[in-house]
Order: sequence, then C-alpha cells, then structure tokens
Amino acid sequence: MSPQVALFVTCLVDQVSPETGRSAVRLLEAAGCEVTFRTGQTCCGQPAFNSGYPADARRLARHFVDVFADAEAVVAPSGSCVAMVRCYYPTLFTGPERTRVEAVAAKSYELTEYLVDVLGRPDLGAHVDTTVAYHPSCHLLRELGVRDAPRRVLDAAGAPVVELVDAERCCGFGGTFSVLHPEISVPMADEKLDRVVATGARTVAACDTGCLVHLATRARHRGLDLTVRHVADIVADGLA
Amino acid sequence: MTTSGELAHHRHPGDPLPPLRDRVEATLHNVELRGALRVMATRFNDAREVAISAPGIAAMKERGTAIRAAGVQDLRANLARAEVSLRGLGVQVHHAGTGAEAAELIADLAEARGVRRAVKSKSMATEEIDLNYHLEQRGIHVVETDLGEWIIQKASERPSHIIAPAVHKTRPQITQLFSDLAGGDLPDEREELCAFAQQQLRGEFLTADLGISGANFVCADTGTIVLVTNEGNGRLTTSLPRVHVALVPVEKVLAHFADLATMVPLLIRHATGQQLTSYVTMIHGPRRDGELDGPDEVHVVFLDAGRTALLGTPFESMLRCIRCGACLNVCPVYGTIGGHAYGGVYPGPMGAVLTPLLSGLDEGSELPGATSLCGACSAVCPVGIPLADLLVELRAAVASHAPRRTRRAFFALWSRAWSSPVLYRWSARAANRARRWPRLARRLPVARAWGEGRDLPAPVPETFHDWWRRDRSAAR
Amino acid sequence: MTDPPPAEGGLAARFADELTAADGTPHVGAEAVTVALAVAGAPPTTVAVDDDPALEPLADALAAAGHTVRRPQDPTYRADLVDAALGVTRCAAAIADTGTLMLVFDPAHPRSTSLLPRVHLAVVHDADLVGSLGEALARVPTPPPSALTFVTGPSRSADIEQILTLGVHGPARVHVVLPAHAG
Repeated sequence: MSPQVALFVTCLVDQVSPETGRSAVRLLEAAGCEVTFRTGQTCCGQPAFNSGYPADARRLARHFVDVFADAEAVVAPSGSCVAMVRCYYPTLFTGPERTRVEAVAAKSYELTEYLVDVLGRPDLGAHVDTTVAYHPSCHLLRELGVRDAPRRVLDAAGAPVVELVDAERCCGFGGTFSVLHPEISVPMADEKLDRVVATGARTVAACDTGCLVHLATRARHRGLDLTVRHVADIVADGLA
Repeated sequence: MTTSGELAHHRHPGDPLPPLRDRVEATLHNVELRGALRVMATRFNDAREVAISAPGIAAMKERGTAIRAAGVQDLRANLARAEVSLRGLGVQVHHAGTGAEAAELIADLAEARGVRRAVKSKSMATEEIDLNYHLEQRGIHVVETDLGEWIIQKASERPSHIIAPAVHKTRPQITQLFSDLAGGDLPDEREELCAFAQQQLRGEFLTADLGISGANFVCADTGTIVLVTNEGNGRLTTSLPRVHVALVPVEKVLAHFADLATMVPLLIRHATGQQLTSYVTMIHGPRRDGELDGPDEVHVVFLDAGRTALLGTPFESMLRCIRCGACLNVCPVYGTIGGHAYGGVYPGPMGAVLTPLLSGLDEGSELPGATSLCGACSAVCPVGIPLADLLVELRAAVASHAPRRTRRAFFALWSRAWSSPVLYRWSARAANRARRWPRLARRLPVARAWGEGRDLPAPVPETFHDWWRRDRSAAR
Repeated sequence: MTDPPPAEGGLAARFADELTAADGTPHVGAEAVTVALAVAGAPPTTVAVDDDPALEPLADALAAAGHTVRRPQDPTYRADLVDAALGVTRCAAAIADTGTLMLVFDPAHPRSTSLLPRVHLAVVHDADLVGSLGEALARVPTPPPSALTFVTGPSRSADIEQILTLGVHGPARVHVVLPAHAG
C-alpha cells in the first residue's frame, strides 16, 4: 500500500507559486506516494496568529483540522506553515479539542522532511546540474529542526549545495513583517542576496515560498542575475 | 528627518521619541554605524560560538535554565532570604517600587552622606532609572567608569548595546571627543586613547565619595553581590569610595552561592565568548576592621519597577534574563537597525520584550511588531527564554490593549472568509487578477508596502486549486 | 577557547596555558624571588607587597635590590600604591581550567595591591591549584571575607573599535609564579 499523502499546498504557494505545488506532487509521486488534494483547504492562519489575533487564527486552525483530521499524512512545501501547525496549533486549544489538534499536528510534515526523515527517500531519481546556494528558512530550521533534509534532497539530485556565510541569518521576510516594516525587511534581503552573490552561485534555493518571493522580487528590483527557486521546483525539473 | 546623532542623544524616560520608522531610517543612513554593528556582531558571535560549543556547555545551559526558572518562581522568597543574608553582613537593604523611587532614594542617601563625587560601574538598571540625572540635580558629580559608558557620557549619548554601550562610535569620533576633553589633539590611536581614559578616570576613582554599581547576581543564601567586569572599574568602584550603593533589579537574585559555578561562566561565555572575564568580584558587606580598602557602608537598593507584576503571567520567563546580550548579537533586526532605534534603555530582542512589559504596554508597544520572528534569539538564550514566542504574545497583548480597528476588523473578516473554501478560492483568484495591473495594484496598502524596494510578484496563469480541478480532477 | 587536554604536566601546566591565552604571563617552576626582581625592573621603583609569610623573601630581595618596598602595615601604603609599579600577592586558589587566581582580601591582603599598580605578580603554591571554578568556590571561607575577586589575566577593554586593549583601570600585566609540577 503506497503511503497516502494529503497535500497541503499553502495559500502562498497556491497564489504566488503554484508550480511549486505541482513539483511537490511530482516529487511525492516519484517517491511512491499516492497524493490527494483536499479542495476544502485554505490557509494555516499564521498571519493572524503572528499579528496578535489568536482567536482569528483559531478559526482557521479549526478549519485546517476539519479538512485533514483523517489524513494519513499531511505534507506541505513550506516549513513556515508546518511549524505553525506543529508548534503553535496545540497552544491555541485546550481539552479534548487540543488532543484532536495534536493528532493532526503530529502527522504534518514539511516536504523534504517527509521525503528524507519519514520515507527515507532523499534520492528521487532526479538529475539536475546546478550549483545551488541554500537558504535555511527560519521556521524550518529552528521550529521544526529540519537542517539536513533539504540539502540531502538537493545533493541526491545532483545540485551540490554551496554554503552561505551567515547562512542561518533571517532573509527578512517574516510574513506580515515584510509589509509592516519594509524599511527593515528589504535591507535584510539585501544582506542575504549579497551573501549569495559572494558565493558565485547563480541559484538560491529554499523550502519556503515567503522567503523566495521576497528575495526574488528584491533581486529583480536590483537587477541581480540570480535565479531564486524552491527546492521542490529545482529537483522536479530534474525528473524524467 | 531624524539623524543618527539625534537618535543617539541621551534622553530621559518619557521624553518623546520619533516614530520607529524614522528611527530606523536614521540608522540605515549611517554607513559607518552599520559597519560598526557588523564588526561587533561578527566578533561577539564568533567568540560566543566557540565558547558555547565547548563540551559540557549544553549541560550548563540546561542547568542555568533550571536555576533561573526556579529562581523566578521563587522570586519573592529568594528576595526575602537575600535581604536577611545581606543585613547579616552589615549591608543596608532598601526596596524601590518604581524607578523614580529608586533614583530619589539613592540621591537622598548620597546627599545625607555628604557625597560630592560619585563613580559608577556599568549598570543598565541605573540607565533605566536615569540615575545620573537625578544625582546631578543634587549637585553631585557623577562619572561613568566603564570605558564605553564614559565615552557616551562625555558625548551625552545613550548606550546602544547592553554589553558594548559605545559600539556605535568609531575610533576617529572617540579621538575627536577625547581631544576636546584634553583641550588638544590626541593621536588617533587606540592605545593612546585608552591611556588617556585610564589617566582621567584614575583620579576620579581616588577622589570619589560614592561608588555606584549594579549587580550581575545577588546570592540569597550568602548575601553575595557579584560583579563581572573586564576593565577593573567594578573593583575600583566598590573598593575605594567610602560608600557603595548597588542597584539590583529583583530578578538578579540567585537562590544559592553554589549556583554561581554555573551562572557566571554561562553568562560570560554568552556575553563575550570568554571563559571568564578578567574580574569576577564577590562582595560580602562593608570593609572589616583593619582593612585598608573597602567601603564603610554598603547599600543594596532592590528595584521592582514592573518586575514582580510579571510573575504568574505568560511573560514571567522574561525575568530569567541575565543580560548577556547574546540575543542582540544574533538578531538580524538589531544588526540592521542598531540599538538606538529601539528607543528605550534595552535594545534587541530582550529590549523588545522588556520595554513594553515594564511600562505596562505604554512604551515600546511598536517594538514586538518590528521583528521577523526568526527565532535566533530563543535559540541562543542561555536560560531558555522563548523570546520569539513572547514577542508574539506581546503582539496579542498590544492588539488587546491598544486596538487598531482596521487591523482587527481585517483579521476578523479575513479569518471568517478564509474558513470558507469558496470565499478563499474566489479571493485568491481576485488577488491574482489584480496583479495583472501592477500600477493599480501598487496603490493597495499591502502592495504599496511590498513595492518599497521589491517588484510585485507576477500574476500566475491559475492558482494551484484551479489547476488541480482542471487538470487532475479531469484526469480521474 | 577549547577545553584543555587532560593532566599533561598537571594543573600547573594547564593553568599556565590558560593564563597565556588570557594574555597573562606564567612562570612555571621559576623562583619567585627571581621573577619578582625581573618584573620589578631596574631600581628604584615602588613595589607593594602583601603582608604574607610566603612573600617575606620577595620583600627582602626587592628592598635589597634598591626598590622602595611598601607593606600594608605601613601607614602610607594606600597612598604609595597609587604610584607603585608592581603589586605582589599570594592567592587563595588558582583555577587551572581558566588560568584564574582567587584572591581573598583581609587587612594583610588589601584589595588595592592587585588593583592599583600597573603590574600584578602573584605567587601560586602547589596547594592552591584546583581544576574548576566550582572547586575554588568551595574554598571560599565561611564566614566569607568582605570581598574576593577572581582574576584572569590583565584588565582589558574592547570598547574602542572592538579591538582589545589591555590595562584599562586594572593592571596591564599579570605575572604568575607557578610550581614546577602539581596536581
């Protein structure tokens, strides 16, 4: 019986980078999963939670749990959204509802985490030939503790990772922070982009679309000759 | 427009501040300052990373976290025990409920003792209560003796970092400042500048009536006052003048003297990356009979100023803070905007939490929003304070305390709309369509803010939801 | 700063390594009198020596060499210290892990001997050496002294352009005489 994966595409990927969702499906299928897409899904609610409106976040959390309650595994191409579900959903609830929420949280995974740590399949048979600077997005790294999985997936696909100086320094996206404090957010992007340029790599990869769209649109604005892509897209390109 | 010089200038608590945005831009425009922040962060971070990756330090951090967590929970009892121990050593103990009370108390005490000249070793708590100003109002000559603090005192500026207060000043600026003091040109050379400072301050130590310090820790069981310094000014301040006053925020109390074996190295490794500072001084009351050095009187002023109010709240863990400054050094926001932009006495992540908390959300309520929540602070904190989580909690507290109607209405509407798959899909399509007209789209508030330095993300042919329904569902 | 290798040459050797890393100057297996004379330099200078039986030979030798030697029992000791080039002390413990001296103060061992002069010389005996800070803390007398200080190398500051300068306020040089082999 193939592993059953309910894809959580996330609102950002859905709207800004749908090809990343398609890549995620392709990678999961290449790993032997049966992927379904529950059309009732919407958003994890993190913007409301981070802005200080936990009741509003709870509303969206309930909806998420309703949509995915009976899934075998929920997999998303986003460290940030999965961190919201795993680390913060339980804090929004008490009693029996909390138990139900914790059950869904426990089976929610970021894409590379699922491929490498759950399925044990970093190698999907993809062949890419690009040097990639990898930016570890903050929630993936610190809240989910996922450090190696994305590197292993890239490496197995023939996309050796070049380490960035100050690799773990935030790119400045931070969700609502990016629009509430552009005067801080944009200089932080510049610091990250300058680090990428300094490695000589022409591609920067990450597992979070928030980071990627922030870096990509700043790079474009500055006229930098850089490709900014999701790890899933880079690897999926290399699939037969 | 605010300049970084204006922003650096000394301010009294309650003085009006320009809006955060102006404060940030003032720093960003100062290229030298941004360079200095870079150098400092690199130096502290490299040293700290080596110091905290040594074997045994992870266990030390666990012990330190447990010690501080227990210490906060038992704060009132520890404080009472500390008072008994201190009095037993001949220390005079005072309690100040507010910063103003503390400043008045110390100024009264100084006047009553006939103090004309005072020397101070570094204490963020004394900055918090604006002590120097209060003493000067009473005609007392106060001199900061920590080199960085002396530099900014002479420049009439305020600290921009809790460990390295003058990090925002370049060497040429310091040369200029010292030359003005000397009434002649000093060589623009670090050792010469330090020698000048040392010579100036030596005289101050030798003629001061009063030494004022903070405390890194006070041990409840033994009444030990602990001061950690590299320069030696802590020792001089507490050995030469005839009166010593230590201003001690209540959360500095440790239950046991033996805890120092964990807390002192933990603090120092996280603050500067050293194993130990040049001096760790432990004081047990005034001088004894026959001793040549040491004050005749030692006073401890315990400062509450909003601290015990945090006990039993979700913010209680903030009282564990040992003021190491590691969170400042790893924070990408602090590294970009510098310490002065935070506005208050405490910058960086710990400042963004403490300033609003201690002021009852009256001050610094904009600070929790000015972070990307990257979590580097929580990860580095030696006593396990979940700073990033506290910042989110504070955002919620601020949203309740000082509601922003538009924002609250937006999230109320948004969360309801996006709990409906149909409404979600519809709004996603609409937003996508809007991006086809970037010039118009840019007029919308969120898009306008995004567009300050970034292109708008290009519209996509269709959302993932729509693609799946069209492409994948059809295939089934 | 990585952890030191185990007991190669014992605690004294480890102390010496750590002190060097902290910009201090160890003298392993040296004669205290010889080091004191060398560190005091060409006479006449003013040298302050704590009132300790173990330091009597040093006080005598320095005086014989033509230095002005002041002792805590001298009525002008404190005033003389301000211009003293060298202060000589013993210690209550010497921590090998970090090259740190634990100095306990009392009328015979004033705080300022190791604080006001530009150079500090400490004489460490076998029995003083311990491994860790915890072990040293266990040696703090009860009831405790009015003050004690842990000294690790010279005074320093990096407040000017983030580069280390030695000897701001406290001594700029710390010399420590260590036994040849201990621990």
